[in-house]
Amino acid sequence: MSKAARKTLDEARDSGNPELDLQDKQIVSLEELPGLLSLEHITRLSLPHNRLSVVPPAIANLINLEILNLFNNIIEELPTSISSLNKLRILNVGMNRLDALPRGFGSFPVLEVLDITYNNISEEESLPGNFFMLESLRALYMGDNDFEYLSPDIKNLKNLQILCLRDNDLIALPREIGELTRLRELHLQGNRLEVLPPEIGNLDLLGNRCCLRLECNPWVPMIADQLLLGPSHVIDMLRNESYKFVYQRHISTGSQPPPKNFEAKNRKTSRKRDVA
Amino acid sequence: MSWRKKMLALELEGSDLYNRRKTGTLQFEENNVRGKNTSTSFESTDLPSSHWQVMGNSVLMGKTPAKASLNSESHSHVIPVEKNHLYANPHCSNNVDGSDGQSTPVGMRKSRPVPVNPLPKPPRLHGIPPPITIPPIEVNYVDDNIKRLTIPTPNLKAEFRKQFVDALDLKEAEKEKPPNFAPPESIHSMSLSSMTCTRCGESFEPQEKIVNSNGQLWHTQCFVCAQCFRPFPDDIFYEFEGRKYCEHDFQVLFAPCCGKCNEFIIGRVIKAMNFNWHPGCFTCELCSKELADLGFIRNAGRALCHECNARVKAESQGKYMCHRCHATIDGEPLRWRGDTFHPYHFNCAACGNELTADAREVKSRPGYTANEMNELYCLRCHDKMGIPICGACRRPIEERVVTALGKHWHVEHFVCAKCEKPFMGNRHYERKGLAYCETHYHELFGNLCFICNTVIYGDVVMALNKAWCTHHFACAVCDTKMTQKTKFFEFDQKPICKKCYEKIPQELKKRLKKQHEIQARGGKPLP
Repeated sequence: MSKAARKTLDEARDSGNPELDLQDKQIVSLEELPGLLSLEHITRLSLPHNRLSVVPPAIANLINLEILNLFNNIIEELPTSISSLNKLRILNVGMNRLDALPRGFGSFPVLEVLDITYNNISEEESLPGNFFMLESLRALYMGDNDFEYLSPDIKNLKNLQILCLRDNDLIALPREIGELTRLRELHLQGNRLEVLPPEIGNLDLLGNRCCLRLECNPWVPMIADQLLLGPSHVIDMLRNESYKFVYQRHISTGSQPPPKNFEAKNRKTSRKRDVA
Repeated sequence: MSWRKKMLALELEGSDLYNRRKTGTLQFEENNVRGKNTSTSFESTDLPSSHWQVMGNSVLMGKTPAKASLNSESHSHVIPVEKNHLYANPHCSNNVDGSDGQSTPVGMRKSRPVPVNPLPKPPRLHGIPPPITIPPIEVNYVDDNIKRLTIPTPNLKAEFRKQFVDALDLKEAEKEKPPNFAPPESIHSMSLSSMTCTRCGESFEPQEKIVNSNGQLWHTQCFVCAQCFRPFPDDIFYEFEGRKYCEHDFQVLFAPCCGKCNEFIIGRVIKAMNFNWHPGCFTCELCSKELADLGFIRNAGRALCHECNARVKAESQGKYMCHRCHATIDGEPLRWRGDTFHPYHFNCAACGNELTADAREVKSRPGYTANEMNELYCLRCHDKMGIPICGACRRPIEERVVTALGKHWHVEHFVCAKCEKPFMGNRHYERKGLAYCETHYHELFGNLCFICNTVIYGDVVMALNKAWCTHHFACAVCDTKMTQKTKFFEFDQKPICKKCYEKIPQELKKRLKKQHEIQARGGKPLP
């Protein structure tokens, strides 16, 4: 229970301000803020740095919500109703304790930015079947999660411009990633990748507004050598026929993937509930 | 002998003239004009002006060749005309003797004056002489002379019809040829009984007044106008085919009317276009220039001066007329100062070579005075002069120059690559060697706000390869508004405020920091 939070809420209700900032208010449950979920007019609800563990299904009542920020809470589960927020464009549930995304999560009609950074989400069973139907998505932040593989369905996210897979357990990337023609930011640092699909060479990741992060991966020497010279040299090399041969040989041999860095992963605060 | 030579020369000249006249291309005949004027009649179409000039000169300068021996009598001597008294003369009865052989008009034979009363000088010398009372003196009259005087030759007759006759300024004539009143010897042999009136053939009464005109004798009542039978006013008469007319009747009968003003023409007559004209009335139908001395060209029933004709001709052929030589331009014209010219009349102001139609007019050049403007240059020199060339149309730019994208442009040719509208001095946006208007630049490449994903038209906050509307620039974690001056931290290429960065778990911060260090080392692990 926070008086400051209530005060802010009352002000928002009185002023009709469509943007509600409730950051760092020690809020444990939205039930502490009666009437919050009936503020239909609000377009932005920011609740970062609180102690929320549950997002009530009634969040879907905020039908005009465009931006929902739940960063740095202790949420373990999202309600399935959340995907009925038809105007939601930006959803930030980073730094929580999510193990999975709810069923039907991919039915947001206009979701543009999804941030699930620093959770415990992994590819198997963590992502709902329709997740890659989020065609409107232009930025997908999935850093600090437990993905080992990325679905080839990633190609459906045609408007994706930013894909962050930092600090996951990725062993391989699908070739289909080369079909994301609008991609201009690709964060792959801190994974278990040895090779890159040559199709990444088709992407325009070297422009002045682009970003390609490749460090902290157990790259095959061919890539590691080029990375020393810079990401642009890696991209150039991916386009070579000789690399394609190396790539083919690598994936066909099916060698043992590099081991997970359990030690580092277990230090994540998102795992603390186990301790708790 | 010199007299013979002169005759020969005159005959040749005369026949030459006659031949030319016969061709019909040019006719000009001398008329007797009051005083000094010559009357020029001509009919000319498209005659080369050189011919024309020659003829015109000869007319104007009064060097007209006399009509060569036109008389039926082979021995008759033709005398160069002095005052252009050629055909009909207003005669003065006390005409002079042939003592001045060169001054006798053609068509009038030398005649011996009739014996007259040895009066002193008549009080008035112009017009007809005062009637003379013939004293009873026997006079031997030579018929021959009279006949010759009154009968014009056939040739002369023909010419009479073609031309106009004017009166002689008698005063002038008298001054130059003072009459000789000394009775010639032959007079003494004349007898009154042998003298008859030229008109009625009757003899004269002894005390009757007799009019002596050029050796012919008349009763005073018989010396009248052949048309109105009245005495000649002011004693001036005009003679034509042996008949004498008063001035009025002579003009009515024989003087031409001007085709323009319908007035009688006294003096110089211009015969052209099947009409007679006062010299001042025969003008170019387009520019109203007097054509008498310039010559003219018949163009579609109009009399035009050479310039107008050339222009009309050129226009009808869709060609241009050279404003220098007035001829048509067959090839491409050179345009200069608003007119068209044959290019070969000009030379390049720089290299001096003869120009062709692709020469360029330079209107103004920096560093040159107004006098040096509008010069012509050949294309090569023109291009070398450093005149900027438009990057769009590849033509030189003589007005305002826009410099952009490393090129020069005509103001109206510097356009948006998308909508092709000229910027006309408005702000443009450059991208990959192309220029765009604000709308289309943003539409195509503009900054989309990371938050609202729409084109940013106002100020833009650029950071971490992204753009924000100024009011949308906020911490990516807590949504707290930031400004361009706010210090922020990078987290997955997103800006986060200091407060949020401090809330990030320590282990994550360590990892991020390590990754940045390794990134800076090109992926090489830290030692």
